[in-house]
Order: sequence, then C-alpha cells, then structure tokens
Amino acid sequence: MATKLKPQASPTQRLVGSEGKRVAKPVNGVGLLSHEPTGDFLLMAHPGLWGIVKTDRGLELLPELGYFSRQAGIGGVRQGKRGQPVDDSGARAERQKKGWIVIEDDFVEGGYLRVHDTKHGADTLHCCVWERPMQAGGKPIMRQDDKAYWAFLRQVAAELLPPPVPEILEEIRDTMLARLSRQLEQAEQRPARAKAAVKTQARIDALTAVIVPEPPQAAA
Amino acid sequence: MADEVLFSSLGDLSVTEVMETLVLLTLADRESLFQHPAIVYLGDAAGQGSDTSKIGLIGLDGSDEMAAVGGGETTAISNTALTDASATVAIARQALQYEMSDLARIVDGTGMINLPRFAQSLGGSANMRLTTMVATLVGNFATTAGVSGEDMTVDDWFDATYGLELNSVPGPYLTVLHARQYADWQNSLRSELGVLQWQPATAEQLQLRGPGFKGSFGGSEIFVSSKVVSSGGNRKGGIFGRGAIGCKTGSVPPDPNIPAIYAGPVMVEFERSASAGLTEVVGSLYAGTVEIEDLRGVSIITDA
Repeated sequence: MATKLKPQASPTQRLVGSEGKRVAKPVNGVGLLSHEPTGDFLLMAHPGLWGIVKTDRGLELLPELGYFSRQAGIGGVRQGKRGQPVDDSGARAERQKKGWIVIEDDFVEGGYLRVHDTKHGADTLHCCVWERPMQAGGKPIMRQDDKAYWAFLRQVAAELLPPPVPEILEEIRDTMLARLSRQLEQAEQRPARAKAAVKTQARIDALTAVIVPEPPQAAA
Repeated sequence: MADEVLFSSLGDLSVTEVMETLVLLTLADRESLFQHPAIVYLGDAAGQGSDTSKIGLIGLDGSDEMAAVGGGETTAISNTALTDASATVAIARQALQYEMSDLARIVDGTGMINLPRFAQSLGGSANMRLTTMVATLVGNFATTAGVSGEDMTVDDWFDATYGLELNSVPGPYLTVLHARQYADWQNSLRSELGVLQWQPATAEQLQLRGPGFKGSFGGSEIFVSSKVVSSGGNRKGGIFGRGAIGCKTGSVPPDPNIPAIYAGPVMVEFERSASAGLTEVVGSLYAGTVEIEDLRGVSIITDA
C-alpha cells in the first residue's frame, strides 16, 4: 500500500517566529572622547630632576618626571617580536644609562596608566590614573586630581629615588637666583615682574630650607 | 492671490541640501619639523642589515684639551682615554589605513573621496607622525626649565637657554612648544623689558617653514606643535641645538609587481576587496627618532 504523503508547507509558507534583538544604536563616535590619541608610555624619574611645586602642603620639593614613550620607532623602541607589541628593552637600557629610572605601571596598586577609546578609530588615549579626560560641549578637557598626582610624586621620591644631592639643589637655586635678579631689575617699571619676584623668592626660600649640606668626606 | 510658485512649495523639485564644491580642511595641526636643520637626519636604513643602528659619538677636535707638561723637557706624558658615547635608533613601521566603498566613490560630489586624494593625504599624515616622534622626545631631556603647574614665562625660556649655553651647545637652536605654552609665553613677553626683540614670522618664512613656525627670539626659532606631550598637568616642550635629536627613515625597495606609490620613506598601497566593493588605501612610513646627546637640549615643563 502506497504511503500517502502529508502535504508539507514550503519554507515561505512556514510560520517562523523570531525573538529579535535590540536595534543597535548608531555608533559614529557618539559618546566617545574627541581627545587627540596618544601612544603608550611610562613615566620616569631622575635623581637630578627636582622642582619646587606648590601643593596642599605649601611649597614642596618633589621629583620632576620624564616621559618614556613605548611606541615603536621613538627613542630606540623596536617593533615587537614573537607576539609582543614592542621591544623596549634597548630603549630602557639607554634611559638607565642616562640615569633615568623607569616607573613600572604596577608601581602603585592597580597601575597608574589608563587607556580610553576615542573617536579616532583604532587609536586610543593613554593617560595617568589621576587624569580624567572629559568633554564639555564637544570640547576636550583633561581634569587632574592634583592631590593624587602629588601623592604619586611623594611615593616616587620615597621609594625610587635617593635623597637629592645638595649640589644639584644648589644648581637649581642658582638658576632661580638668576631669574630673581632679572625680575628685580624690571620690578620698578613692571608690576607683574615685581609679583613674579615675590614668587621666585618664596621658591628660593623653600629650596634653601631643604638643602642639607653633606658633611665633608674624611681624607683616605 | 493664490498658487504662487514658491520655493517652499517645490517639494518634489528641490532637495533639502546640496554639497558645495568647496570642501575645507578640518582644523588640525599640520606642522612638520622633519626637515628643520636642528634635527640630524641619520639616513636611510635600506640594506643596513638591521632595523636598529648605533650612532657613535667621539670626543675629538677639542673635546680633550692639551695640558702643560710639568717637570723637565723630556718628561713623558701618559695616555688620555678617548671619550666615546652612543645612541641607538630603531626604525619601525608607522601606518594609516582608510577604506572606502565603491558607492561612496560613485556618489561623491566633492571630488575628495577617491584614491589619488587619499594617497596624497597620507603624505601629510606621515609628516605629522614624524613631528609627533620628535615632539615626544623634546620633553625628556635631563635638564629642565619652567615651574611645574605654572604658566610659561620669558624667564623659563631664558633659564632654558642658559642651560644650553652652560653646556656649550652650538646652534641653531629650535624651540618646540605646545600652543598653551606659546600663548602663556607671549602673554609674559608683553611685560618684558630689554634688548631682545621678538621677531614674528614673515609671510615668506611661513611659506618656507610651515604654519607652526611662529618667529625667532634670542636666536632660536620657535615652533608650536600640538604633538608636544603632557603629563602631570604639565606640557613638556623644550629647546635644543643640532645634535640633540636625530631621525632615521627606511625606504621600501620599489617592486614593479606591487602597485604602489613610493615617495621617499612613504609607501602608499591599494588593496581591493571585490566581494565587498571596498578599496583600502594603506600608507606606511618606516622611521625612528632618537635623543642623540642629552646635554644638547633643555625641556621646558610648564602648566598645561
């Protein structure tokens, strides 16, 4: 007996259901930062680089930091091999030879570097944890948490750098004294220069207060 | 009166907006420092056998000074160690890619969405990359001037110049500042007295040097670039003499089997995806920059 075939619905006749999915919002850079992208970097400290900085504690002697770019082609950083994005070993050695101390990202808990997406496609904005990129009416703004930055500088001074050598601080003071002399020469004619001279004098005083002369070394 | 022919009633015979034939460039920093005489061109890496090369520095021609010989006329003197140093430059690929659909090229009414225009634009992109690669190094000299968190002043510029002069750095000097630093510096210049005069760039100089050239002050040319890096709320510009920073490039050898445009170290290639109706324009630049001798430069670190 021949089997009677049940009529089948063609694919177009079949009732098909779909849960659907939410319509994707147009991207087109909406909500992304318009800041100019910056490449990967680390900060560096140098035993000879110090400055008097106005902080919440008054005028304070803190290290001045350098910028170690980790982009291939800049400052001896090579293109990476075996899956590594870059090879910065040679560039690090060059910096160390010149007295720099590269501050690794994990120097502070959670790392001090942050990456943000920007409107510029594949390029991202690299900045520090105390910097917050923001936008006000399309205008790129970088808000800085000064207290967090000063705390970082204090930590660098305490944990990475030797105490500043008095001769280096005296060199900085000499530069400040030359500046003060120029400002005082013009102070009578220009009130702005007189104001600047007061500021410079305060910096010189703050620096003088922290210069502790080392005892002379005993002759061998 | 009724049924006048008004523009507002020509709904089917007009379009909302048409594209102007004039297309303007967006505001961007297009200043190139690459060919400034203060930057040492270290040549092309083609055929060198490595992406990395060492620049030797040798202490001759007056670096070691003769000394009076004490004692008798036949007193023997001892050897002086030759001073040498080196810096290492590595070239690496810097690249930029655009991709455009056939439909975008078909309907383009501006004359801009086409392969030759994008290829030409990649030349400018390569120049800007070199500027960034130089500007990134300017803030890294181990001698600094300026006050962290305070606006740049003429005093900072003098301090930096004294730093160079104390180290006997020969010119020509090049000052590279961020626009913020330059604006603050100009503001400070207004209250400055003295014999030094600010010489603003003339039209001819702007044509030769480009839009970032602002003029000369105290024998140094001043360039402004948005590529100067910032950190800790400060901008890191600087002033340096010839020999502080060098730049090396690498040219890809032209091959007749590879359709590409070769313009010195810049190579522009096209890649076609027929199935998707897309064309890629890829520009590549092989270049490296390096700080050759640190004492030839002073960083100027001031409020961002």
